[in-house]
Amino acid sequence: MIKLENVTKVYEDNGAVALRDVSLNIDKGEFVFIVGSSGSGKSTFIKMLLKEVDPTSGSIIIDGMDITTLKRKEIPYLRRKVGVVFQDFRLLSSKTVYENVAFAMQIVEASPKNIRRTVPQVLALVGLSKKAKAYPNQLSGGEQQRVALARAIINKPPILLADEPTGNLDPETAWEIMELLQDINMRGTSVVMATHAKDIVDRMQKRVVTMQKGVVARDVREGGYDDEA
Amino acid sequence: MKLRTLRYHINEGIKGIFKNGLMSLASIAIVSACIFIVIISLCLAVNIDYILEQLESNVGISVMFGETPDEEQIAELEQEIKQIPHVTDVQYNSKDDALDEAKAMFESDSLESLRDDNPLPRSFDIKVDEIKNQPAVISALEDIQVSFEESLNEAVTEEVTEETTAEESTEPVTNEAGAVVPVVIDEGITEITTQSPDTLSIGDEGYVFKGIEKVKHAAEITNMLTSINIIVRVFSLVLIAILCVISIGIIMNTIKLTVFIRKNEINIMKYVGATDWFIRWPFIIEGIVIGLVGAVIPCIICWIGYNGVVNFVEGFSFIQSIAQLKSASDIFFTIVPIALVIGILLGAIGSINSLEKHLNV
Repeated sequence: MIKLENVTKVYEDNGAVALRDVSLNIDKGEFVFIVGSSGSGKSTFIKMLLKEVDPTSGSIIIDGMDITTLKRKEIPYLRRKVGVVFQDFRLLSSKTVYENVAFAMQIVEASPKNIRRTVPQVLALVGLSKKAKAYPNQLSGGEQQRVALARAIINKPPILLADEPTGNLDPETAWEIMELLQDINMRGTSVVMATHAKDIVDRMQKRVVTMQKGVVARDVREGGYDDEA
Repeated sequence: MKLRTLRYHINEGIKGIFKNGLMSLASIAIVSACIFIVIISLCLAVNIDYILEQLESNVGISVMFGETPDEEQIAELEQEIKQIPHVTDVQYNSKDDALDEAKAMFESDSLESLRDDNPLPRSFDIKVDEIKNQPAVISALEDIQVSFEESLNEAVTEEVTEETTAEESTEPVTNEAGAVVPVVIDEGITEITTQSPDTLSIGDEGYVFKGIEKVKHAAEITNMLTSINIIVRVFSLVLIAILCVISIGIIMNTIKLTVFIRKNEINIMKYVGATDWFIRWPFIIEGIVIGLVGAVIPCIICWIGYNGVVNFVEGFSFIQSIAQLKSASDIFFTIVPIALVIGILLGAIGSINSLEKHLNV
């Protein structure tokens, strides 16, 4: 599903090497944690999968498509295959919960009928049916992240990227989000989650890829935060 | 683009206008000012052209006869004059025609008493295709006059010689009432004067003076109007260009502000997979609506104002007799679409320019 081959990223402005010759395979339906300290290359990894940054060398293949050769105008179509949630939720503050989620469907020009049918289903899935008319600033952090998750999965992308999705949440709410992510993963979506949350990684017992100074230091099939390969 | 997506963009675009109310108002005002000037200069240019056209068709050359040429000779002269290049029409006016015209001009029947002993000369009204060709036609007429007189001189007897000395007097002769009367040259064509048929009257100095003076006068008016027209056009073009640049600048700023406020939103849209055009359209529609509103306002104001001017001018019959203004509907059927197109372009260009760098996410 996701394949990195000898990917190196050197930022031109400061010469910093973010990724160094990284090769990695993530299969369809896998749940993978990307862990590592700040500056280890986690964020660059996520950004590359969204084609927000391009590798200096190497290739990235997503769903059979080499995204390093994509033209600018093709990027939106890549991003429709890759749902994404962030630590800071990134919701449209002027739109209601319902509109925030429906927006992702409007972008792909879904029919109003389809939107009216699907949005409530997904809101039910993330447990926010009763908050459909609320605005983001009327929601708790956990609720906002649920909206972001609903938006990320509404177009049924094969891949879901989560960049520190529990970073701003208390442990209990964080765990609720993790349960949701696991639920989404069970439905066949590959989930790639960058995180610092040791307790979550230890508890989930999923594949853990540890980044260190731009290289993959460890890659454990079913492990915890600090497990040796 | 699907219809529902278009509806979505229009909704978002109009929401954007109200979100930045003040900046939108400023943009509308500047677009209005720009288009206002465009409309006024177009009105001026179109009307100056129209007036010039009317003047050109009015200004003709008048050739008056003394008593000598008989009808046969006049017919020959008419043929000769028709041969002159640029002459489009020659109309003969008999003494009775001249009297009728004078009566109509003075709106008085008292001139009727002159009918039996009519002092008014017979004449030709000669139309020339373009005003700039008038001097050539006049010199051709003078040649005809000279050769006609020469042909007469060959035939005259000695008694005539005394009378011809009187011809050399160039002083205008005044009658008892003090009005200037034409110096009648019995031998042939008395004078060549040019005239605007509407303004010629007995006692008019053009009637006795050499016609060339009158030609220059008409040509001067035309030249003056033509140069005013050029000045108006150049001036308004420069002004329009400056205002267009300012409008685009202000619209760009408005949209930039909107874009800045909505930078996060645009970012999010990009992450969710919105295409650049999906993001652009609401802003472009915002710009177009601003441009359209900015165009409609001056159209309405100018239409009403222009109608007022036309009605005001219609109150002065002497202006009406020289030239008329184009009717408001005539002018605005052309101007309104031009104004709307300019408004739309200003809005769209302003929006597109201000967006590009924010789309690179």
